[in-house]
Amino acid sequence: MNEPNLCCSRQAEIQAWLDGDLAPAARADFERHVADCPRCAAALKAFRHVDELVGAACRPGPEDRVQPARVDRVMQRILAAPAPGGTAPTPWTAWLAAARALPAGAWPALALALGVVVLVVALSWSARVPGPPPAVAPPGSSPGHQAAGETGFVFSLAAGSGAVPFLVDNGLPLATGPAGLLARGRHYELASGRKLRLDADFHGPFRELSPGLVTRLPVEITGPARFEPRPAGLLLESGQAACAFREPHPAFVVETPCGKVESLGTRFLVEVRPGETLVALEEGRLRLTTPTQERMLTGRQAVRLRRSGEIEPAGAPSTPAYSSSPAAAPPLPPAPRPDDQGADTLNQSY
Amino acid sequence: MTGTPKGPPPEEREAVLAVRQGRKEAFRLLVENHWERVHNLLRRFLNGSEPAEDLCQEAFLQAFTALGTFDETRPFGPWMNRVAVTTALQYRRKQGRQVVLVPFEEVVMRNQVSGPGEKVLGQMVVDEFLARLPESYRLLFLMRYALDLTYEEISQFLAEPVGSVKGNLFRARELLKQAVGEPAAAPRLASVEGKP
Ligand SMILES: [Zn+2]
Repeated sequence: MNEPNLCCSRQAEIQAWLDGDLAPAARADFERHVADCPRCAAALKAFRHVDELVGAACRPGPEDRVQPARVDRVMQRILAAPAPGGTAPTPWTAWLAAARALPAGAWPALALALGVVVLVVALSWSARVPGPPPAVAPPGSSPGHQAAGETGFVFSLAAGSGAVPFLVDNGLPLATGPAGLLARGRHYELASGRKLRLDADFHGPFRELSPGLVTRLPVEITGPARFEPRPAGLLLESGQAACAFREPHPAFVVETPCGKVESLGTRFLVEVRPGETLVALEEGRLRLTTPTQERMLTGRQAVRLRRSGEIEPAGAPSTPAYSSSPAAAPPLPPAPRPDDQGADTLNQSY
Repeated sequence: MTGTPKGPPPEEREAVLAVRQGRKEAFRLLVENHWERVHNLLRRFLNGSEPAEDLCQEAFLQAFTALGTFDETRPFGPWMNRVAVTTALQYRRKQGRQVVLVPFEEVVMRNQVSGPGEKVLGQMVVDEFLARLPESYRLLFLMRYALDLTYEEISQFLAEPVGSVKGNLFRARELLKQAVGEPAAAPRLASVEGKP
């Protein structure tokens, strides 16, 4: 049986025809062929029959009907939930809003104040943790995050990240894939007032890297932001990324419209603003590259990358300002290890 | 397929705006209008392993919480579809499981259709087939046939290239085509045995 389905060289086009993938001319040509070819006609008829059956099998059944009691139960939960769009500013976003309101020259001081606050919080946190530090995921311990064949950084939503619905992909809720993976080459937008914690998992050869290498790097992005995952790191078109990489790790690059920020074991903050990128380094080292300049940053510094390619020091504050505004202390970017080994053990080959 | 972009029904748009203005009760209309489709998706996804109502509630709760990101000039349905699929994937992820589209393996799939010597009618073949499919394939069929998602959207959710999604879906349908036989011959019995 099924003999009509065999042996027509054009049956390979059936799938494309069903999927609407044929160009108009090819489509018309195939349809003319079907009119004359009983084999293709029969195959097409059979596929349509299957599609009808599958469509019928996927339709809602009586058990799916909406019932007042069901709606009542979900509405009870909704009435108890915080209002939507309740993008209540986190301390972090409050800090950002304050930073935006400041004249440009004041930003670095605030950024560095933030650095100090983060450091202080980190230290006090680590002081509260007795005993051995929590284990850090060793390289390759996250098969679930391994995208087949991909080398470089692979981004996924950090565990417990509740931000999924706030991450928007072409105006629709994000499709993160089964493992919470973000796809390379796609632009993601984070709604205003939201933040997103990502794990950047490095896949690839580790041979030139030191044994204590950490290959899962925490990155926090604060909305409104637009970004794209890249093998070498992130393309940050707008918004702010806070990176707290305190241990040896593969080089991580944040590309911005005004230049590249390459992390060499560090904690830093990048903010893309109109016409410039602000970089505040809290500790460790960064390599900055613009179309016209390259610069190493070490220690606590803040600089501004201009659209023109210039890298300008943004000044260093003489005294930390955080003590005067403790309420503005941002939440800690992804948790640091209590037993921080410092950043400078990073392999120097970069 | 009903994929033509349309404006939202005016009453749904009003409901969205009302919820944003703090009248949470207005969300009820959205639940009523979209419950059946979302529950159908999640029930078939869970495949009888547990009742779907909790997960369905979770999907609507997520939609409610994220309503600030919804563009009310668009219809709510496609947006809600994506929230529902995201909810399902998140649920599995929380359980430490993943919904991975394994490469289509016809030998394995044949076993999903029916047992040796079993003869069944077309619709029963399909119902049985969907219920016995690996979860990722069931979700793939549901996204396509129950939600009308585009191949591009499906490929994002499954983290698979579009070509792989299309190819796997086509091969699964080809297998079904063999199993259900020719529509003209219905309601004859069809067998999956003895096919080339
Ligand atoms: Zn033909």
